[in-house]
Amino acid sequence: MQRANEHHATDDVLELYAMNRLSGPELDRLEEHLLICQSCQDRLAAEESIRDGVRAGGAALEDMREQPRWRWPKLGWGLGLAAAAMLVLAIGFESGLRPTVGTAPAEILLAASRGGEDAAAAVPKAGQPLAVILDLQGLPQLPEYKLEVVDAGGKPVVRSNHVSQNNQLRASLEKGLQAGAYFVRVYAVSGELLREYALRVRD
Amino acid sequence: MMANELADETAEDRPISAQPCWADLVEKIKLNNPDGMEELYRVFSRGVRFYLCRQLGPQDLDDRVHDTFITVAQAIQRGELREPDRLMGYVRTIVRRQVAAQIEDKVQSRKQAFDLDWGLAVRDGGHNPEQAAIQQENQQIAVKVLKSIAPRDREILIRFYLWEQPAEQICTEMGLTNTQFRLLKSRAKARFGELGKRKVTRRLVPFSERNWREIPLKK
Repeated sequence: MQRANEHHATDDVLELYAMNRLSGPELDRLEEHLLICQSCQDRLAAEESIRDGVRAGGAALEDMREQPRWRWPKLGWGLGLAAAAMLVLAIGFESGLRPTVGTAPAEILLAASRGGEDAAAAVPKAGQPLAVILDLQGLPQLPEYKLEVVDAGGKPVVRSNHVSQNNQLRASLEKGLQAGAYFVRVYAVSGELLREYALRVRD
Repeated sequence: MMANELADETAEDRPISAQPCWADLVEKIKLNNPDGMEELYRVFSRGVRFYLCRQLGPQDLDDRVHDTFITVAQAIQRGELREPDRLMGYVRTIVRRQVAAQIEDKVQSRKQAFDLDWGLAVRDGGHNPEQAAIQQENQQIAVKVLKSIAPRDREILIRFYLWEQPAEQICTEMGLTNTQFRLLKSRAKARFGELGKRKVTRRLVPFSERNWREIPLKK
């Protein structure tokens, strides 16, 4: 009787696999072994459970720590701030709050939704600078995300890393995009695809 | 001896249970022997299901597992498996191709859907309300468990799993040797897992029973 892969996976190997850090012949051996070994499947599931738990809990703890605490400013500072705010408002009203002209970036809000799409939604123009705001509501809260914009053929056009603010990701595409259809993808740092949005750019 | 080394030693020294003779199994399948198919399914079904579920999720899992076995059996009958002893590797290759094909199908169908009815929002990778509630609850449990373990253990877990820092960086920044890091991580994981199970069990215990258990005996 021929035996292959007689030994179980070590804890270290399972850990590396759960973190997507295993590669090469070691990866091949482990995945073959996992096909037939229930014990190692269970151990891997337990490892991934710890990984997911720490990520979810750790991200939430970090988010709690980052929430700024409002403190009433001291009286002197408070009066100064109020005066400055009134000055800004006065200038604003005086100037009529004219919108800026020229090549201001188009703000594009991308949100996940169910049901019919809004046909009147804004469509950016080709070459126009874009400020893309991605709504992350419903996604795991992580300290950092990877952003990727691909064209209709799946070819990456933009790749960057971002930190979320108020459950949103903001990305600037200063040169805009060429006309066409695009997918904007948000990944966890580990490479897991979290959400995908569609974006169309007109001529 | 470090906990992790002990675990490694145990894992390495523990042989897996008896496997079938791959050559005999392949021969049965080539001859279209029903016992062969049954044995193939018995040996691999859990692992194939585990892999596919992990990569693609639980949707249509039964169909995908079934397709995998059909593909493997047909390939063996066509003589495509040159080395019967490599059956495990061959099954793995087939499963990986299934996963790649599924992902490619999804990408293509998304492109087609986009062309037919485009909009600013296409795919919601989030959960339905019930799943969102479960995820929220799990997150709260995870937060409580992290808060209840030692700060240094918590830091190691967060650095390793959330920030995905390599061991060397964690050791340098926390002033640990590699041995200390491995031991502390092993302990932290065990503690996190143990506390996590306890908190889930506590939630499942009926309220009246839980209260009864918590009343201290007065002496």
